[in-house]
Amino acid sequence: MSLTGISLTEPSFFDTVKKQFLYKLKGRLGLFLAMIGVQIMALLFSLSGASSHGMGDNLLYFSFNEFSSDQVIWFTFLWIFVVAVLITTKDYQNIDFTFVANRLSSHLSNVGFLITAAVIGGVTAMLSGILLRIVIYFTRGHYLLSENFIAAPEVVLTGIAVTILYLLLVSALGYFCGVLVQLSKVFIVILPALYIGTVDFLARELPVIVKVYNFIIGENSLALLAVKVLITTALIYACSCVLANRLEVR
Amino acid sequence: MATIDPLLVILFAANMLILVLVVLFVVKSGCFSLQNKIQFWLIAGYILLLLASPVVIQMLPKENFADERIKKVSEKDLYVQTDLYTIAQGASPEQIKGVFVLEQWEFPYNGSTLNVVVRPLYEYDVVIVVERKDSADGKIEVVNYASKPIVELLDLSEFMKPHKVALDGNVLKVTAPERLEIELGMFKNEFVVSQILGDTELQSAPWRYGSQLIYLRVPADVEVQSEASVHFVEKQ
Repeated sequence: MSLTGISLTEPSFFDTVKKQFLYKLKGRLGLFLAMIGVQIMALLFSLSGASSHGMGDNLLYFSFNEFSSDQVIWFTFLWIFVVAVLITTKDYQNIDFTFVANRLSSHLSNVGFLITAAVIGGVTAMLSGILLRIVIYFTRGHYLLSENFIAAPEVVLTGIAVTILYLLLVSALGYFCGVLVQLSKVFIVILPALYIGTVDFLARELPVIVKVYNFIIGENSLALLAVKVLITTALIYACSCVLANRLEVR
Repeated sequence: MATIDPLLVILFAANMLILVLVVLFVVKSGCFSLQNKIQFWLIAGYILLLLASPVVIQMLPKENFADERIKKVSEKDLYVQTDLYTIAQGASPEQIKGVFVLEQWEFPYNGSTLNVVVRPLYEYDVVIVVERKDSADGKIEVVNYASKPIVELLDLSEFMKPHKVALDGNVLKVTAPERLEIELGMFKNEFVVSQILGDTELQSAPWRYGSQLIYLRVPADVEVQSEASVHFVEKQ
């Protein structure tokens, strides 16, 4: 009896997680459409160039415009943050009640969804840089320099890997913020204030911010960055789960 | 050729595998509503378009790029002294490296005075150098000299427009060309790439925007007057 009980219980948990994950993926396809919208908007912004400088006199003026898909990547970060917050809201959590599920399976399926979103977001954000190159080739080909036009596979793959890592981190932060807001609506005010306070005004003065910056953004090794981001992400998700369980108890 | 980090290949393969698995899972796990189907194919179409981009970009003709069409100079050429103003101080234009003739004119002239008018005056200060010839040969020779504008080691001389010079009675009218604006474009690596692989920077070579000078050779018996600043030099 006990053996039968174990064999029935064990797969059913992961089966539930899988089913929830797939159900959420299907039910939230609109979020990926939003990602496409956000990326296309960022691509349109990127057409005017990332930075420009020039020189000249009364007869001749040269300006130099640098293009990159940085904006697409930043917009994708923003998108995944919003998505991560959004899926912690009650409207999105209600989807779990259609399954025989517990809080853990719900979290795991959410994390699975966010990992999938990070992978899709990372691949599309970096590849959109190549689409941007093609569009600019046809719109401004006459005065375009070939340098960096065809990105080496190494460059594209590095970009995809790092973007996915950042998206994982941003999604974990978004999820954490979402859980905090579910815990108390006070965080709707505290979190933006905290962000503006630490990032905009005190960033240069707070050694802890500099340390965090160097820990992630200052890391030049892909392997080390991956280890740091994955551990940090896992820790943030663990904190989110613990906090969310408190929410359930309340 | 750059070597690819095996870790990157594994990561990329894993990404692609996850993408394929997700698509398969979603497709196999039951029927879609019509709205879901439209959403799914819009997303799939976008991803396919992006996946096709690396192939399409390889097929684009390279000869359209500015650095393929425009003549390049070496760094050595860049540091050649091409100060046109030394001509105003008596240096021979032919002896200054990097200076070239952009346009030249010749006008028959029998008058005794020549009034040089520059347009637009004050907004623009062209250097006009006048050399009086040994003989009264009845000819005014005008040469529009220029030095090469060089950006990112590209010689952009072909884009320079010369002045317009016309003789009307005893008035030689020198009109500045319209200001030409050239916007060069280049791609730089995304910040996520430069964090790991370093920044892509523009060539460290300095830029030169080139300049122009009008050189007049007038007959020995002609007096030159002008409201603009004119430099007189002896015959070289």
